[in-house]
Amino acid sequence: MGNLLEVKNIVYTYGRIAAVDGVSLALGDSDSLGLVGESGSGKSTLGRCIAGLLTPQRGRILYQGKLINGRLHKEIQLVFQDSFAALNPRMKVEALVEEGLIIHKTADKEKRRRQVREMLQTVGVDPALLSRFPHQLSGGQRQRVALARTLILNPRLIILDEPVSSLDVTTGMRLLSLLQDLKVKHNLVYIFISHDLAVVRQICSRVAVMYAGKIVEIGDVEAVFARPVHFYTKLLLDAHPIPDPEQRKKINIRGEAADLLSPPSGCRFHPRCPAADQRCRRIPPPFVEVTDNHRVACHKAISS
Amino acid sequence: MRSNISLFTGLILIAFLVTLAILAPVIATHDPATTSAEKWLQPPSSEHFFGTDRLGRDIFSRVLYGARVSLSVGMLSTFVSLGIGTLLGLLASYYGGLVDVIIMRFADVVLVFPSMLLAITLVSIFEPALWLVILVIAGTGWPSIARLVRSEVLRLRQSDFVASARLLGAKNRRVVWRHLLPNAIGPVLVAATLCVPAAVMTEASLSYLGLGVQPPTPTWGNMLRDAQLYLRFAWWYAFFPGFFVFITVFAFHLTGEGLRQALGLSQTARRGWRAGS
Repeated sequence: MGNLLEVKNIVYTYGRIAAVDGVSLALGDSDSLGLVGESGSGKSTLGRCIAGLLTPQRGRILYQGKLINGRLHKEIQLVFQDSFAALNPRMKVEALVEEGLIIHKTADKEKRRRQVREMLQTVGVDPALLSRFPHQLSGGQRQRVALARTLILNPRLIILDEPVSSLDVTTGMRLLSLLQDLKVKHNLVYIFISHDLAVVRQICSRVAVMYAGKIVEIGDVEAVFARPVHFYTKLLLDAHPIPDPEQRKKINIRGEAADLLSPPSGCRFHPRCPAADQRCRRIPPPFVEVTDNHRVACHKAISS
Repeated sequence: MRSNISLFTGLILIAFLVTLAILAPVIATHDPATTSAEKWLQPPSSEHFFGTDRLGRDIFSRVLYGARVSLSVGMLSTFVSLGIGTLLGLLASYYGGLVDVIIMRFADVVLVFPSMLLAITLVSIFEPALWLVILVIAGTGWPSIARLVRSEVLRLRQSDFVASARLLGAKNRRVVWRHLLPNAIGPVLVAATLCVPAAVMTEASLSYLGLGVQPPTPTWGNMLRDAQLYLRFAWWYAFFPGFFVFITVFAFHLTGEGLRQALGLSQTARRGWRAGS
């Protein structure tokens, strides 16, 4: 099985700040990857690099075996976090959804109109809203229009940058179930950027945890969630409320997110890690395979 | 609410002035050029609403015909500087690098050059004429528009919706025409509206100095110039042309201000930069 997407050791820096600092990952044909981590961990930057909106200074991105660094690809689309900013305020719903078809000259006017209507139905937007402007829509409708806009080009890989974080819970849940349906129906692969672990668990088969520009743990969702190895993953899972207080075990993790201007030496998580020792402070941990497909960058992973 | 009132009042005033200018031949009670030896410097009366000037010409009619010159100079020159400014601002912001440096430094040079001085120089080289006045005003007015367009485009270029269009495969031309320009137009329109009164003032000043539109064509500026010797004993002579300059400037400022508020632009947007988004 060839990989749909391969990211090899990419680095993206804003000035002196390395937002993505040597990230590698591979995505199979039917995988969907959840990308989790706190704000500033580099997940959005990584997403934008893969989408081709940003060109990484180092490393390679391969799509279906072809190098696509910094180049846009019709089959790779991105849904932005803020649907309000992602839709041109001066364009109506119809023009917004139709745009991709016009650019790629795939059909005549009549056929385009039909396709736009069908697509709106697919994403669950009432075609009566065709002549509305984005500011006349609700947040959920806007995000669906944004989704329709990308889906109309039949993409294969969609990067979803926190698509539900700006929506209220019920609207978000409905959008998520739509995303799940679409994934099956259109044979889509998602890279789902989120800080909501429950959502990632629902949508994705694999999950990568990022900390300070690096992936610290990557594996199948079930494995990572059941047996997290990296202390940062444990922290994230612990921060997520568990309904039953009997099951809760607190890990005591202090401190704040790493300063990217002068990242900590060795393992970037060591100042906050309860298990850190001399080696963690000095040597950046290599990736080690815990089980099949489950890899962790932590010195303690082997010894424990 | 307030914005609607200023926009509304401003637009009504502009419509009123434009109507006066267009219908000048119909409304005017006298020929603006006909002189009368016995009726010179008469105060306003039922026959001469605004009185007469030193040559016995009807000031009311001359003010109406003057409006044609003032308004067409104001609007045409704004149009030209809007065109040049938008084009150069777009080019500068879009291509960046050396193109940006060349265009914007050129704009700076034009901006620091006193337009009055330039006008005086040009007029002394060529014959004073209407088109020259328009050209001088437009030629010195475009940098502020170009700066505004440039800063708007630079801001918008970073926006998610432009990134989204690029992801769909949109090329430069589409991005500029469908995404950047329609969103940059608001603040530019406001700035353009505020360019008109400046142009009207400049034309009036040039004509006042005798460097603008030449007699016998009546303009508010050259009427004021004629009137300055008679200020003490014929108040109406200077008052009416001056009043119309004032009303025109006022109307366009009101409209610009109303437009700015109606478009929800902050105070600073007018000057070309906006804090946050």
